[in-house]
Amino acid sequence: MSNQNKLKSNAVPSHSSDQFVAPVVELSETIVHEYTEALLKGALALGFPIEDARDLVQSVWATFFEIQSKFEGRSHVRTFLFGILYNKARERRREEKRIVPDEKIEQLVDSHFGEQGRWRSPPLDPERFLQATQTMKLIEDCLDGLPLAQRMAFCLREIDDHGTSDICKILDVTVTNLGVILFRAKARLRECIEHKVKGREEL
Amino acid sequence: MLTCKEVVRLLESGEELPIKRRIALLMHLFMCKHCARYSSQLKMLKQGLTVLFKSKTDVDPKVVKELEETVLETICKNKKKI
Repeated sequence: MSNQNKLKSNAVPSHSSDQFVAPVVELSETIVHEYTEALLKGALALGFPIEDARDLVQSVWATFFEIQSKFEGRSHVRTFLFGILYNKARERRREEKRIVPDEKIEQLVDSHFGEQGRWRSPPLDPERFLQATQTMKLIEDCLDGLPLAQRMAFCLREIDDHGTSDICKILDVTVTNLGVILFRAKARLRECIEHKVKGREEL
Repeated sequence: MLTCKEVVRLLESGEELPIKRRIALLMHLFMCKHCARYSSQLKMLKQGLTVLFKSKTDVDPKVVKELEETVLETICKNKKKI
């Protein structure tokens, strides 16, 4: 990423005050051009309609420029920005932050199995499942039913290909938490889709 | 032979498995209908989500450009105030 190098070189403070102002303005522009699209896509992927998504991105930038002094370069600018996006999205949805119970993934996996380690409710025939996953409306409805943290974890993987440690920073969770979040999200989506498939077939 | 639980955990971990583990996993999937179904469901889910996210985030570059301008204008205004 050549822009990243640009950011770094621009970020070096200069001694002359004239020279200092110019790079700061230029730096803002570079950052805004670099990340607005990703943020907008992130907001859309979280299920906000385009108007709301635009508002959301604007408020992310407003906050970013307000608190940028707190940004100490310990994480990537992109991670910092998506962290703000996540918090803003949560405020809008009025969702509580800590919905991640302190669970172990082993326990979650166990809950899918009954006596002698048998599947409690065996997965549906993939043929029937496939049709459902290709029906955008259906999968979107199921996705809308997920808590924001779960949806955000999916989005970050899909949209911008964030790595695990970035996603953990953005959601402010541990790696174990993230594993649980993703497992739960998938389990819920599978259940929701299976439920809808069965419901359709009964009609 | 792996148990179904172990298979679900392995499918979840997303890590590159050592060859022995991978063979054991494939063997189980070959013999166990439920886990095979589970494994293909996960793949379908992933594909479905990728397509969905792509279609949802397909924005006109013009919209992005306008938004960038609006954001930059707001920042400039605020800077002048200071």
